[in-house]
Amino acid sequence: MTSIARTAPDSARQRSRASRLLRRLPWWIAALLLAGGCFLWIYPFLWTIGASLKTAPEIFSDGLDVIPKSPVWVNYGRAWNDAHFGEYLRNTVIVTVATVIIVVVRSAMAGYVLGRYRFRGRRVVLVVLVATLLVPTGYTIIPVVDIAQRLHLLNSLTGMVIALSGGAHVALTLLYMGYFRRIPTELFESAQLDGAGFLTTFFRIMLPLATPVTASATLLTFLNTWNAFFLPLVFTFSRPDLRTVSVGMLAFSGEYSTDWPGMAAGAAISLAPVIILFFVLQRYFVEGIAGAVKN
Amino acid sequence: MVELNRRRFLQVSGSLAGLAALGACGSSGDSAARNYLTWWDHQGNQKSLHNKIFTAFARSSGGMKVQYTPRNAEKMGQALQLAKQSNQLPDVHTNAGLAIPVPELIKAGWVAPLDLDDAATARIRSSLLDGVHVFDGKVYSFPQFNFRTYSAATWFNRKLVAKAGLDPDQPPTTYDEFRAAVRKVGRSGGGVYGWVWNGGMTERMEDQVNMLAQAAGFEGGGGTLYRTGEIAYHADPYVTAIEFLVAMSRDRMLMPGATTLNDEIARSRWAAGSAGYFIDGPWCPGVIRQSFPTFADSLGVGPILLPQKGTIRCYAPPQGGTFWLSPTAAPKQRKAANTLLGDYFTTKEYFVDLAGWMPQPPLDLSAVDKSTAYPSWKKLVGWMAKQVFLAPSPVVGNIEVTKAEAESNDVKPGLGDIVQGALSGDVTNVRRALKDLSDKASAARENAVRTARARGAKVSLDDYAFPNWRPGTDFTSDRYHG
Amino acid sequence: MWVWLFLAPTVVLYGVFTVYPIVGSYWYSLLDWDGFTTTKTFVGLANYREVWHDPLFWQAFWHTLLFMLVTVPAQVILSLLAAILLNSPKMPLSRVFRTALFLPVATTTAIVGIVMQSIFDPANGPVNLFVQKLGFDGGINFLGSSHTSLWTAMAVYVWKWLGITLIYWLAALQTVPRDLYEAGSIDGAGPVQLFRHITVPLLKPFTIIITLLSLEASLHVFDLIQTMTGGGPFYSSEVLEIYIYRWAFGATVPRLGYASAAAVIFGLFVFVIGILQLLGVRAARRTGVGS
Repeated sequence: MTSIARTAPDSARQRSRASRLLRRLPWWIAALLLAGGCFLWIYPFLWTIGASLKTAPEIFSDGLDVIPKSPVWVNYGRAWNDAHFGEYLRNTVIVTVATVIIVVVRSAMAGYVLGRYRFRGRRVVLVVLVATLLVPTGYTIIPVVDIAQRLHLLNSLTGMVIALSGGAHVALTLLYMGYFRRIPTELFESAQLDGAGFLTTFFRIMLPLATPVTASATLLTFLNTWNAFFLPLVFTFSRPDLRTVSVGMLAFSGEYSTDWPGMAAGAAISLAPVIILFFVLQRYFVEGIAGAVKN
Repeated sequence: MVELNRRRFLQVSGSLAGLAALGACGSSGDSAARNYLTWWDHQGNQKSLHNKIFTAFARSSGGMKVQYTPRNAEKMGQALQLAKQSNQLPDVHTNAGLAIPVPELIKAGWVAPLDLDDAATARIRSSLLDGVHVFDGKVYSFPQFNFRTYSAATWFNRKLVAKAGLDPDQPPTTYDEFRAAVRKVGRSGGGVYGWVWNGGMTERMEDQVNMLAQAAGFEGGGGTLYRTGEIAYHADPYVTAIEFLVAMSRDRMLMPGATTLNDEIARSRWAAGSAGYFIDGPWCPGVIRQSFPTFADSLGVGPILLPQKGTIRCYAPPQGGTFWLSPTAAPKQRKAANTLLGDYFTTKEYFVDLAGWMPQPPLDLSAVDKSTAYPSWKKLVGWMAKQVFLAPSPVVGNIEVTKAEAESNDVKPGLGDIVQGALSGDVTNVRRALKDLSDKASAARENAVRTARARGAKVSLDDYAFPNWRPGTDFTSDRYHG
Repeated sequence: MWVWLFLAPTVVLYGVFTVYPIVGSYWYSLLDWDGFTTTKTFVGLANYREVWHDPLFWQAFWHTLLFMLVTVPAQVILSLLAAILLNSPKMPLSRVFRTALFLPVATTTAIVGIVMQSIFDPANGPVNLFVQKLGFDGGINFLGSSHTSLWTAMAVYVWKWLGITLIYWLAALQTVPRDLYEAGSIDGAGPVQLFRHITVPLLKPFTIIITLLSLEASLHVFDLIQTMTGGGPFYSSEVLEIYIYRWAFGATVPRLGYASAAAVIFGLFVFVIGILQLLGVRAARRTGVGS
């Protein structure tokens, strides 16, 4: 290949481009098919954006049309000012960021020791974690409120963060556990030879290695916290100024009617950060650990 | 290992203390320190009216700011439950989703007696009933709406009806006329359906079918015959009404997807012009005015449907109170709440304003004419005033009945479920399903009465029977022991 | 010592806000309590007896299981295929596609509900226009017929949550070192062989966790089903979460004790299944079938 390329560069380059195109062809076909599927996939999302710029009669007379006749920006004004979405968005961001950090760190730590160490009580912890994994929990809010009140956690964002990070997915711990268990033992040994202690090994070597898991865990916790409803509701009964976006969404529904355009606008506002985060985090799924191991 | 365990214990308890300390910094919620009233309400539709009142009250002498939270009606009950659990009940609240008998609510500390001034009490005295608003001689709440109402009026789109060659001023009144009218509209083209309904909402349908059955001649309410107290869902009027609805659906006169729609979406689609007729309560135009103002000209209404031509007679129990005071409200808030409720929510001006929002008919029906309500709403409220009579209520007859109610469990499948099942084809023998429901509901009631008696309540099955009840009359307080 | 220090935050937070409430609900399940009043009567196992004899409970139970059995494999397999496609550096526009597949996850459920009602509308929804072209006269009332409502809900569920499983898979695929593939290709292995001999074995532990995550998620379908069908028509799409909610909050006289009992029975059932599975895996390992 190289010698030919040196002697007859033009024809070879053409040939290789053609063959590369040929090799890539199945991928482009797949891409085309996916593109079609994706339109169907994101349709309800597009509809939401469209609806946020329509009037109420337009939403229901147009059925599935996405494009508004003339954009009604007032809907956003209503969501932002009347429904206090600006304020709520700030609260939601604070709560979500804090919760995500706590949950990710605590899950990684627990997953690390459960995955790497054998110790007395490990099995008990594991059994409890797995046993509670599949219990329906929607109705356990009453004891949660009960204990939050006894610990004086109500009516503060701090309390909300603590409760939310306590109720987060146990599965994340298991995810980290599975990941750390599969990291070659030599890595630990070499770290120990370098004189790294327990904490250094974890924070400097292991946690960076687990970047793809951390990315997933961040996203999942982000989603759950962002959309959490009952806990933020309870924690802000006496402090409406601390409400989060998902609680604020209630302002759009009345006894017999719902302000659909306002709700769509609210939904669009609250969706934006989620989508941005996803777009950013994607990089970590792509880069993966290959680079991290080398460093 | 011992060492480890002790360490661990210290860590755990240390973190717990840390948690508590962290939380304590932000905690504040007791009403004594506040300088405003908290108010929860499931009637978000009247937000503007309430805000107007609250602004006026805040400016008045002795007034106070009100922090108003409109809540989703469906989630209100659960929100109240959690608020109660955490000692954070709002000073004033409505009771949507809190269907527990009031004496139980009083006992459990949900509601406290009002202390309205004499002028306010005088304005509402005639509508107060023992066992509904008054307990142990104390007034706990008062109604905002009139009991003369039903949830199954025949609303229609005048333009579509006219286009189909029907007279919008002669709405259908019988099952056959309705069927013919719906068929005409459905065949008038343009992808328009004859009729759309809230077929996905079993509870609303239950209420509507109860009303249709009364109009069809059922001499009772909610399945119970007034004279004997017998539960008879399987009586002819119920079967007739349900079979009429099912036949309409089977003959494709009901918009096909309507069996999954809730009232909001069904109403929105109707107002967007996809169907001619829509069966709904009196609150329909209120929603139209707020969300679909351009539809106002097309709004037409007919009374509840009858199997054959005749006089409409429906019965409704007394309307309960709307706003309730929490026992946890501090004296300052309590005083303000009483002034606010008494001075602003009992007056003629209030009912005129309220009628302008076109919810249910206001307590004071004479306010309707002076209001800015749509003509179609005024017309409907006028009909209801003549067509709906006060039903007897076991609780008013004997307050101890509430103790049996507290013991009684829901029976499933209920009436609404059966109607939905009949529409979807899952219930083929309607009468047998209704008979089943009657039997289960009777058994549940007997069981509840027995349990309540065993716990010392003075209640019996006779409390559900009112032998001196007569059709087409109001069962006023004086008739309970006559 | 480090071990317990690392476990402490999870043990404390999880214990207080997840384990304790679950244990609390065990206690409630022994009470006759509406959750609203102070009257709590200890009734022993009476709630359990009643739940056990309620055919609607078993129907909801079955719906929940069916929902799991159908959606979890569908979600896990479809998203794995998508992840493999989108993980390849050769795939054009993969970032855009990933975002597109993820969007339903982020879309508000209440709004998904109304859009889906229009999409599946028996008269003029796009799905039915297509179905009618295939020759089904009059179309299919996807959400309004008791034969199809649960299945339609399942399809919408898979659509909505595929994106999240896709992310797990993408993360998992990252643990497969790229050099392994390169080495494999040089040795002349085709894509199918590469997948079978490199990807599959390496992904095995993740499969278990991703399946577990999906199983867990398939229990939380309350909002979606409530907004689309409300559990109807005639209970045909009622899953356990709706059943529990109906008794705990939706009933005229709520019964928190009864609802808790229903949840406990289901929780125990799932737990037993989990244990059996675990034992099965162990046994397989011991006899040398597994690795």
